Amino acid sequence: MALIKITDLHKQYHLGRTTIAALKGISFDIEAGDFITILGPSGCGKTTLLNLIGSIDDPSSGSILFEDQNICGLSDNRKSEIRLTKIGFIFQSFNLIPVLNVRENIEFPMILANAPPRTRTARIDELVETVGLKDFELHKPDELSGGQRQRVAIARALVNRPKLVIADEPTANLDSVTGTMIIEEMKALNEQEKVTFVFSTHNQDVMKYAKRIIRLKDGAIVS
Amino acid sequence: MIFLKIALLNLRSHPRRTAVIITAIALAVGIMETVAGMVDGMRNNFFTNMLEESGHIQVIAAGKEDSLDPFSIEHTLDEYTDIIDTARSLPGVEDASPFLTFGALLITEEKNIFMAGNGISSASGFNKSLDESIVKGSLNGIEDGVLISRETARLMKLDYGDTVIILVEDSEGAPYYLSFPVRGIYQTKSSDFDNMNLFMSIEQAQELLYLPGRASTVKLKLTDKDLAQTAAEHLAQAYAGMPVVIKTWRQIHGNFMLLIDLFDLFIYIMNLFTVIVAAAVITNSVLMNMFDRAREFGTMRAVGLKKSGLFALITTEGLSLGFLGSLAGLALGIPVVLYFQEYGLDFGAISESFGMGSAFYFHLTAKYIILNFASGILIALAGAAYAAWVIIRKSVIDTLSWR
Repeated sequence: MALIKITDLHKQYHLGRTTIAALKGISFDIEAGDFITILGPSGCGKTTLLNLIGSIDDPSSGSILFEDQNICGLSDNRKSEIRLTKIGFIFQSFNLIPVLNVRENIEFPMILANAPPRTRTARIDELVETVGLKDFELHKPDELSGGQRQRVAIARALVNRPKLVIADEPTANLDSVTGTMIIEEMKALNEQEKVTFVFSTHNQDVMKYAKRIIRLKDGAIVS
Repeated sequence: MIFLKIALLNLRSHPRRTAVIITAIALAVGIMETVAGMVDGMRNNFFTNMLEESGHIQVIAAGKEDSLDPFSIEHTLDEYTDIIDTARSLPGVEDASPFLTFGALLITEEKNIFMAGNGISSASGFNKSLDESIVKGSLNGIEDGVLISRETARLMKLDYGDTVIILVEDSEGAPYYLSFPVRGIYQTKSSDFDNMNLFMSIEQAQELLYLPGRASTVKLKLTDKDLAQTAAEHLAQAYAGMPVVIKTWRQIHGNFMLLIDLFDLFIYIMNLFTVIVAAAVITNSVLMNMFDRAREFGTMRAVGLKKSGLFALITTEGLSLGFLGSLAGLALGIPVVLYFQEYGLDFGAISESFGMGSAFYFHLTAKYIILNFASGILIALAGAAYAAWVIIRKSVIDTLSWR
């Protein structure tokens, strides 16, 4: 059974009288444990597709079944709960909370999920070690390099043990070496934690890590 | 706790904006505290000083109030000692004392001046403030002499122990005068009062005016001002059909009560205006702050923070700002109130015209401190709640892609 089943997904934006079709009938399945790359040029609809899968946006039509539950059209609170417990996000610009240190940034989703303090401490210790930030755990985001910030974002995405991690251009703001290292870490976590990763990129070098590649062009899957 | 931590850390990481908001709240709270202290001081002045002077109930000879001459002795109370005895038997009556007021010409060799003469009883409980204002001599001096103000003494070139002639029109309409030694010099906080009044014993006044056993007013002091109506009704029953008018403090100070009501209205309008201005500044600053951090909020929403959680996070910041701003406001306002509570705010003729002395003495009360502190917090909370409402109406995508 697919973790996620996407069927005939359309997304249109309205700019005045102009309607822009960002996604045109996308259908595919994501299996548990997948490591999927969504590839395509700028403006092809990669971010839109990831936002819809991550339930931070609603499609114009079509359905997304997450563990057999259609997440389109759910209430805002219900979608928040799904994002909190089942989905992790990694953003291109890291999007860390600037006033919190590394540990606190990672801890934030666990606090929202009402995890007990002892559980939180153990999980953060584990993740800080995993992403190699043990020596930086009390640093604020502005005291970290781009690669270190993205590792914090990865740890935060994984902290509530989600089924799915969505990463929108996670290497775009990093140099190629660091970008490759981040993808390698994501790949390792995919295997260690059995977490499904879906990430977008237009970096051809990272494609070799993907189990599946979905190529988008003009809002449609081309291969 | 994480919301409070984020709130406090954010306040620290945006020092200029935090300072603007805290200053706006502090100014609002400081102004409200100062205005409240002033108006409460006026009210306090009324209930302590003016009622101390006027009494809670006055028994006045019928017709006196209708006389065109405020110093007329045509209408006086006969057998006022009976009224005093009756009054003292009533529950809650602390003191009942006679007063005989008259117009008098104070004459020295070089000058003369018209004044209000006051025949008072040295045993009266109403003499406390006069006693405290004596700078030379003593209150007992009224038994065989007169008390005049320091200003009158200066104008008339008189000093303690000098002799002065007091000329009056007696009860038979004839001019009559007696010589009195100056046995005391006083100075109150009201120059109008000082310029106008001289004091002697009621017995001396009765002799001067040829009004044996008579007084113009009997004033009653009660243990509780709220007993005035009941006591006045008892007296009205006891003296039904007699030529006396009985007035409670509310009737005596009707105009002033109206003034107090007007000042209450003034304080509400002033506070409302202050609140609106402060709330506008705070809302604007908080909104700017929130829009600057829209992506941060979008990220929080993306990782699972509900709208209600975001609302709580933003209003926690508002509460923190309100708390700090209100503390700063009280730190500004309380010293101002304490200063004017000690030294008074001189309004000169304006406050004198209301019979409140030349200065307003502010009054610091816990009630207004708490109210103004709470108001400051509520202003900030309202501003933050509006900002939060604006932010949570936006979708996660809109906040994440905010530029």
